[in-house]
Amino acid sequence: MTVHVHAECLAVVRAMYDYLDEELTAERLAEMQGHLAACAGCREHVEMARCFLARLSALPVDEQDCAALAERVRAALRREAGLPPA
Amino acid sequence: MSVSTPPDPHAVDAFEAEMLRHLPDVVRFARSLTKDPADADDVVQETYLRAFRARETFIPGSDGRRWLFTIARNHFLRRREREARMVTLDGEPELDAVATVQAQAAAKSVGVDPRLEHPDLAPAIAKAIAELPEPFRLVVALVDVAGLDYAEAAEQLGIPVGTVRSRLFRARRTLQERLLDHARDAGFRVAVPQEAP
Repeated sequence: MTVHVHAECLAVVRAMYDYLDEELTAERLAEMQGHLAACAGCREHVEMARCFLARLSALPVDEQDCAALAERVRAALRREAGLPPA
Repeated sequence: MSVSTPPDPHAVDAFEAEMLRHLPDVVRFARSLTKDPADADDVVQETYLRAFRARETFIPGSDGRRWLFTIARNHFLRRREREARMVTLDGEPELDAVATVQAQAAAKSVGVDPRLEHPDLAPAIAKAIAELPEPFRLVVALVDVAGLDYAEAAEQLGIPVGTVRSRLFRARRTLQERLLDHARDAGFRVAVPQEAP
């Protein structure tokens, strides 16, 4: 699939994670915001990336797995401290 | 190594009360570090044991979750040092950016929701992270799961900030592509709004 992208848009996509991670310099941030205000395509790319990162950082963990592991950790801590099993 | 002081149940109770509430976060972090859930559980247990041994170094009122992440990461990295291997890492940022645009456009063209909002995607995300080569998985674990900034992650891994940035971009691009592929294969499409009569 061939996709035609403007060089300025490509630079925005390349920097979009820096933007979302708040790692851009003030000057670069202003440029980015200026481009995004004018470019619907790049706004869409950045929004997709924002949704993706939100999913990535909020992975669920199984509560039953955690409860079982917590018991295992408690038992190990008691052994470590020289205490008898609870 | 065992503690040299006599057994103190109160020390264990106090430690558990302070630190076990972070266990789900430590599990999430450990699973993003390792490929295997059983390995991750071992990392979690060892993290708590090491934290308990070092409990006097914890500053009350500081971030216990972050402290446990640091211990987990150090333990994991030391363990992996024994299995050091060469990996080709350096990519071309321009090509990564092009690939990102292409993946999103391809997903959109077949109707996949590129925002990946489908709830059943969580297992696929975990699987995709586990399949990343370790150097890429590490930056995802440190930045996306543990919440470190680029400079902190660079310091922890002993690599330049620019390397964190490029590995992170490559890792996220890879994950996003795999998830969009998974979403397409599983038929997770965007609902098309009906036009009002």
